[in-house]
Amino acid sequence: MNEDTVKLDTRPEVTAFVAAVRGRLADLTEEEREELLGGLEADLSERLAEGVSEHGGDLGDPAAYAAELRAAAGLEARPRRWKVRRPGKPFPEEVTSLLDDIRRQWDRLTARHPWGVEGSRVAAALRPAWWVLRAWLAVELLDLGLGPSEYLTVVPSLGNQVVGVAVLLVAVAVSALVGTGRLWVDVHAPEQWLGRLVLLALNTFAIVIALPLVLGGFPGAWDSHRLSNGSIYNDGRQSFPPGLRDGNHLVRNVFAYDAQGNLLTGVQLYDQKGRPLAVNQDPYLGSYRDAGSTVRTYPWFNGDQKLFNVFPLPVREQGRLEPVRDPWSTSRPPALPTGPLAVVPPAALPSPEAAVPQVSPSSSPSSSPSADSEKPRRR
Amino acid sequence: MDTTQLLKGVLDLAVLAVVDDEDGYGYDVVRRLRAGGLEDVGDASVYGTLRRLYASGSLTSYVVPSDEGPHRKYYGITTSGRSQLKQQREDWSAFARTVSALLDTDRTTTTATAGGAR
Repeated sequence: MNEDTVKLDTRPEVTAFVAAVRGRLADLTEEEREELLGGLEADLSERLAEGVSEHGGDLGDPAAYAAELRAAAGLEARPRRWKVRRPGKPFPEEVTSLLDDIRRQWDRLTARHPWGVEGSRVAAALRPAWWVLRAWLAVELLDLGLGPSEYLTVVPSLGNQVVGVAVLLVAVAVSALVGTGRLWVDVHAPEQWLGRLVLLALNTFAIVIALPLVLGGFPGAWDSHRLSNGSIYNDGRQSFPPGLRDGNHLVRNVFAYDAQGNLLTGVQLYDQKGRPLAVNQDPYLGSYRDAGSTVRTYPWFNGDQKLFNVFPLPVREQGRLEPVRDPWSTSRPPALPTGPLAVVPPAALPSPEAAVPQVSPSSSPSSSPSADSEKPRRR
Repeated sequence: MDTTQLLKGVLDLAVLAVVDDEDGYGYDVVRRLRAGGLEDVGDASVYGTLRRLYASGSLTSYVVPSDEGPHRKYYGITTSGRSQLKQQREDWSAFARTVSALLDTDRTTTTATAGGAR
């Protein structure tokens, strides 16, 4: 019974009129709008039922009605879209109102759809998590810029685990205070427009730049399927990239010593078929730890041709944020490593003469008399 | 004489006075104002005024479900609204007395001006 009455009383033109007025109050907040429009349907229905109207029988122009409503309520008409510059308005207010406008447009957009409403609620609940994340990013970035060249750790080390944890805790506290508006920037204060802009820029930077950079600083981030031995899992099949390998271990550099145990440089390696024995040229696989720092290997050259089969490969300590386009022209060009062992014990072939053994006497001009050299080979 | 300009200045006072008599919903207030002689009052102006007075704390509001149709939003006066009404009532009386006195002493000129302005 009541349902029928409701339908009869709220005439379609009233609903349409209220919707039209509502559309012209789109720049107001939801609350302001509801305060203005609450009960309007009932009032208009009653007015129509009475047949009284100052506009002569119908409801009149919704635009004029909305304007009158606004004027009386003290809610000045605002531009529907934000403008870049409103002349005569000081710049700070300009910025503040622009940001407020964007915010309002966004709120309106999300309020239109149930998912938008739900999403906003979830996002609001997740704000503290964001405060922690951005603090963590800031400290990791600091670690990335300042720290020794090593991989990042989930708890930023900053050279010392205790220092890292302490800095992280402070950063989280600061970030949360800023987030709640208790520190630095109160987004609702128009005179803090600059801080608000800077905060906006920092947050954007954190998401767009810092997050990928920091995540890229973790080991294996380039290819999560790449294993430390250089094998790659692809479609469940393990494949091995080319390159010197000792069983499961990928060889990153080779140190050759002569029979006296002295380190040789510029040794060119070939296999039994004359193919170069080169290490893998992938920059990630080609880096290893040497004397506490991570170094990256670089090739020898024959003209423009890179030779990864000449050893030892020169190395260079690699800063994590350093561009590596042309390491040879930097102030720290790649240099020959000292090698894991300064000297190794001398080696000799079992020879009755017990002379100094020669590895490849025929090809070596500095070798000992050729009479000795033929014997070991025939053995 | 265009009374809408005059009305603007005293609409707050008029609305407060009407609601002070008895709580009312938007159109009810409009009707009572018109019945009281302010026939030119626009309902949107009244609704806007109600909203502004509500936002400034002079009025309170509550929603009453209606059997006949959509919910009605009633407005009632608050303590601060009452003191505002008292103040404005006094201001208005003093102002009206002053203007009346002025018109009494200089009736001819004013009438001519008002006629010319029309």
